[in-house]
Amino acid sequence: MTQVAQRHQPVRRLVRFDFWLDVVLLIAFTLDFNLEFTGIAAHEWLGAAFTVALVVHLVSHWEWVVKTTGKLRQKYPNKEKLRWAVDLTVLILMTWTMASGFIISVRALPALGFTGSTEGFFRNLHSFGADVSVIAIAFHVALSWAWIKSVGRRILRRNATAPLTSGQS
Amino acid sequence: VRLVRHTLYSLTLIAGVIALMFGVRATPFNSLMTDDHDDNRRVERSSSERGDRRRNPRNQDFDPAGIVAAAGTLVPQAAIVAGVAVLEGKRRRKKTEAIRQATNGDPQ
Repeated sequence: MTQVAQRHQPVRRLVRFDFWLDVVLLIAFTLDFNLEFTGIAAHEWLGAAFTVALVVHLVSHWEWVVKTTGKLRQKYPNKEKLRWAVDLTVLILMTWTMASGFIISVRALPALGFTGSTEGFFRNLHSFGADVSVIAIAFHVALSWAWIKSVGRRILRRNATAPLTSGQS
Repeated sequence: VRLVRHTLYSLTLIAGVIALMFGVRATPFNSLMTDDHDDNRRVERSSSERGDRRRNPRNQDFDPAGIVAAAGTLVPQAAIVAGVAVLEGKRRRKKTEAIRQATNGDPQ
């Protein structure tokens, strides 16, 4: 299939879901990162929701994870290898940030009947992980920019031209 | 079935990464992340004095003015995305040029 023909293909539902999930994740991370804006309670609950969304994101890309990991030792484009390394970094940073965030929680955990920790290690890891994640996520987005641009264009173009009564989901 | 399997694998991977975090905590790296060993004293200390965002009373409630700071977060991110896009564009142009030269002017 030529690139031109591909551009006019309707975007599959799963790809569309993936695209919007990514957009929501990026916005949620940006808002959640800024504690001055959200306040501590919203920060923690948004973080909890973000954790679930991140697991969904990982599950939806699991095939890519397995495929790329399997090909790392073979002749494989350097860009894909770099993307794999960046994605692994993002996974580790985000998981540590969220796990430590749960551990030091002062609003969400107590609301559920648990007591958060005040251990310095977790508090500093949470701050450090979040700060480095900002940069790592930017690289994560940058390395997928061609996909984001292509799918985004197709989705927006389709939405702009589709009749209102088409009932697209 | 595949979705359930992928979810289980993903959760296992995440659990492994969390276990790694506790592993790091048990190593000397712990001291790099802990700047004050007396955690009780640390909590009592004034937060704004230490610049700790989580303990800063100003951050307890929603503050609409913070949207400026939130938007500011996007600036370095946008710069990185743009930078990578420029590099990627250069790389692609170089590749196209190499193909063009190899095929005597036909960029394929």
